[in-house]
Amino acid sequence: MSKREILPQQRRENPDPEERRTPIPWLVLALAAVLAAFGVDYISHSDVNTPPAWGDGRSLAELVGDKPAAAGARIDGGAIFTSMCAACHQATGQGLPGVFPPLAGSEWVVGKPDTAIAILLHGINGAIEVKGKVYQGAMPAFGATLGDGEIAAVLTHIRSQWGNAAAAISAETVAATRARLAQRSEPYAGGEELAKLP
Amino acid sequence: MNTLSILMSAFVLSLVGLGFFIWSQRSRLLSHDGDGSAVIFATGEIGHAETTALQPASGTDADGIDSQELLDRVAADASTAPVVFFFYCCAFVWLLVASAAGLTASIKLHAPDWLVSEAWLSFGRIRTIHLNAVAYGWAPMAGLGTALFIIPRLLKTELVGGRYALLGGALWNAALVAGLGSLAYGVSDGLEWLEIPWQIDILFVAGGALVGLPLILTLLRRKVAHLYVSVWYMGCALFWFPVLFLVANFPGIHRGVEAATMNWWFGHNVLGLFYTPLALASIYYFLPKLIGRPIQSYNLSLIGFWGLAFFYGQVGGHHLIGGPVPSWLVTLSIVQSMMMILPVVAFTVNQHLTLKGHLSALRHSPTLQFICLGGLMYTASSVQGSFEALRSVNVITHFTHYTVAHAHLGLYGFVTLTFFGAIYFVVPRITGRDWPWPRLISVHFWLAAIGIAIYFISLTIGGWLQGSAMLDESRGFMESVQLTLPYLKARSIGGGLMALSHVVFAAHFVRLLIGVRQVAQPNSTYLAAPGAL
Amino acid sequence: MHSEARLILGGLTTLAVATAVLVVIPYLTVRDTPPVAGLKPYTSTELRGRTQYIQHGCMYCHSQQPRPKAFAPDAQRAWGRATVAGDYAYDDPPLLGTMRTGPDLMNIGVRQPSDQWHLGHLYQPRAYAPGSIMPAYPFLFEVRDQAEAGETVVVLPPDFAPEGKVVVARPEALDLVSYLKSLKRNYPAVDAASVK
Repeated sequence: MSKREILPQQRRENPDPEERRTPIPWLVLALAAVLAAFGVDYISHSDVNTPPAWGDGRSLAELVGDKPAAAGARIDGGAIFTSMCAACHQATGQGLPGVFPPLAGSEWVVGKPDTAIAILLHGINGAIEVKGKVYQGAMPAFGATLGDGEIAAVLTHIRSQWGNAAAAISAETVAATRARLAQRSEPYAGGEELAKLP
Repeated sequence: MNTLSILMSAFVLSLVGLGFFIWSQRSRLLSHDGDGSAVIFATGEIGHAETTALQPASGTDADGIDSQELLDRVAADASTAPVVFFFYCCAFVWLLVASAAGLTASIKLHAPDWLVSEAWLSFGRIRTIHLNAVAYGWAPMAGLGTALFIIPRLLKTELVGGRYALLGGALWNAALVAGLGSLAYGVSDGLEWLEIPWQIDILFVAGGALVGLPLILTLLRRKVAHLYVSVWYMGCALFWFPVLFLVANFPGIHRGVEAATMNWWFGHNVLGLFYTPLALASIYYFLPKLIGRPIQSYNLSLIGFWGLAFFYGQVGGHHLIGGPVPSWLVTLSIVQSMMMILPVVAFTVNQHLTLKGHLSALRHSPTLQFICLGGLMYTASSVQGSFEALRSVNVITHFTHYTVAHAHLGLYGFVTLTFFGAIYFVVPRITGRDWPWPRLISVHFWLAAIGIAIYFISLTIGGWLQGSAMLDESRGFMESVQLTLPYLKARSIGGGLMALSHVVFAAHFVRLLIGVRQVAQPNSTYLAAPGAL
Repeated sequence: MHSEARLILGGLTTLAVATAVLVVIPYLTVRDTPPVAGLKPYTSTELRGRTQYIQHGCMYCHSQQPRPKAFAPDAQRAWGRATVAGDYAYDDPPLLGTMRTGPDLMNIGVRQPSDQWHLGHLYQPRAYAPGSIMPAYPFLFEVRDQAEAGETVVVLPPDFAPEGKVVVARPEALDLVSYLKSLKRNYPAVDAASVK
């Protein structure tokens, strides 16, 4: 072994550390016992006897999904609007200039119930004039996602908001229109076609 | 037998098993016995506070120091210096890269139309580059560099096959360059912490093996009977990481929600069983060394180590509370998260006993300031993490910036600050150069400490408010976004201070390298100890 | 401690226990959970869109895991029912996410089926969702003098549309939107009749 230079930095440091054998404070052992007791208690109060594939904290009721609302049950049309309509038509019902038409004061919204229902059921793909401005309509169809009661509730909601004051629409009306338009699979090609609806 | 009773018996049995295992390694676990201390305790150490870079390098004589001890150290350092130097240089580069990427990502959250024209600069990619540059660049380079330095010293032997470690480090960094490049380009495996494509991971595995093998061979050639606690952490980390990395990245195995539980098994263990042990080992080494006192309790070290090894591995499920993964798994992870309090308290008490009455050393040693703050942050972030895992708390903090604050308290406040301290200590010993501007070390320290404080406090508050708003169905979702804005801006300020401190740190390092080597005494070669050679 | 063998074997044993809990048992019990009745496999367009979702790191701000009612009002926010393992049968890898800097997207296809909304929102989120902090993705679109036949033109509000030019969606944007629209978990997770 050759001579090695010893750096002043190496020389001025303490020797490498070692360990003493001071006993463990009783408090640490008491903590261990408390934690173990907590663990046993927490596990015993946990709801873990559900099938592993369900996931954490689920109940059977919420996994079988919401049953279609029973006749007469109140459906919150405002909530449906917020979750499914407001992104385009905005919470104010004013839409976005040039892109998404307003619902507030819209002749299509407050007009014939059947036309409004038809738009929700099958959507629009084409030019539509709303309050004197032409929009390139690209309204998605909600017929497959929303039930009759839900379509009725959300239409009733938008027909009574932002100064709109048209009559409520019932689930039965929606059901009837749905049955009548059952053959249709395409969105409406714009305002002109919609205007021709009976 | 239903799931509950299986889970309960597995938990209790494993605790009993762990208890016996620790018991079997005890040394006077509970009783005071006067002679115990001398056995594993070097001669001639008591009462020497570490003189530091802040004081001129004197030719302090070896009076009272076991000269063989010094010679062993010098031999160990000589074998590791070039390797450690290379790892640290890489660490500096990744630290700067990660800081730039992190700061950019942070600003983007409150300035969403800033730098949007390039895909690689978009938030989703630059954030991922930040995480991977820290996770596979800065933290392992600094941590492994420190391990390469410490392990041969503690084993009183020379590093075996240092050139392989050098080659491994080069491969590792090449892999990281390729990995970050592919993330910037948009090629990602899609799981957080595991984004780097598995094809590139093969290079990491090869590089990692070439770094790890020399350390393991060195372990087998040790010249000490007792393994010091730092060796436990570093030795096991070197085995844990490859298992984690290989299992997690192996293509074609993981699918569906199992991939999610595996994801957090990896994500939490790469923190808990890789960075954390490397940083804890550094604290266990530098803290007693700098104040010149032994670690007070071998038995507490045992609880701290085996507790971490056992409990930490199982906590990953707490990232999926309320998620589509088995309830029993989440429950067990929550319980083990709380059990982590035990090893954390054992570590904290041990350090406290060691430091008690020697706090004045903090004034003189910048290394010690970083290490002590890092140690405190280990306690703080771990205890916070334990409670954050409880369903009642997690329901608020899950999916919010609170979690981000917690992650940075751990990986920055604890791990990174500790590695800063280690680098300040090690660099003069591998280069023979002292830090030229000691005052800059203080600037670095305070910028980093104030930066992480602003970062942590603002995001913790912002995240909590965000989570509370999200739980209140009467408040629109956008409200939970908008209310975080002031806190996100404060986070950018904190992050900016942290990044600035890293620039100061790196500039200081460069200045040290291009400066004149101050050791101009050829006759300083130390041969005073009789029979030294 | 004197034995490195004991150290390493002990360490590997503790990791083995953790691996059994978080990897091996889930592998054996939930990895191959069959798809829930009602879940459709992705089309190739949707899969390309999913790759875009991963490439641009959408999952760092959007979760795909509505929480159960006992935890949070996710269902009331129209994010959908809590998901189960079978909902992710075609997800490789699953994109559960850890943050809700933006809303949960597991049912974005249910509540937002409009192509135009998605395209415009990707081009400039703030045009559609005032106050949003989502990044804009202009590089998924091309701004040209006029569109060619068969291309999808994005209709933007006047304040956000480039003057005298049209914004055309690149295939990546269309793929991504098609993936987003495919995110629907609005069927029952469990058949009530099968659980008694």
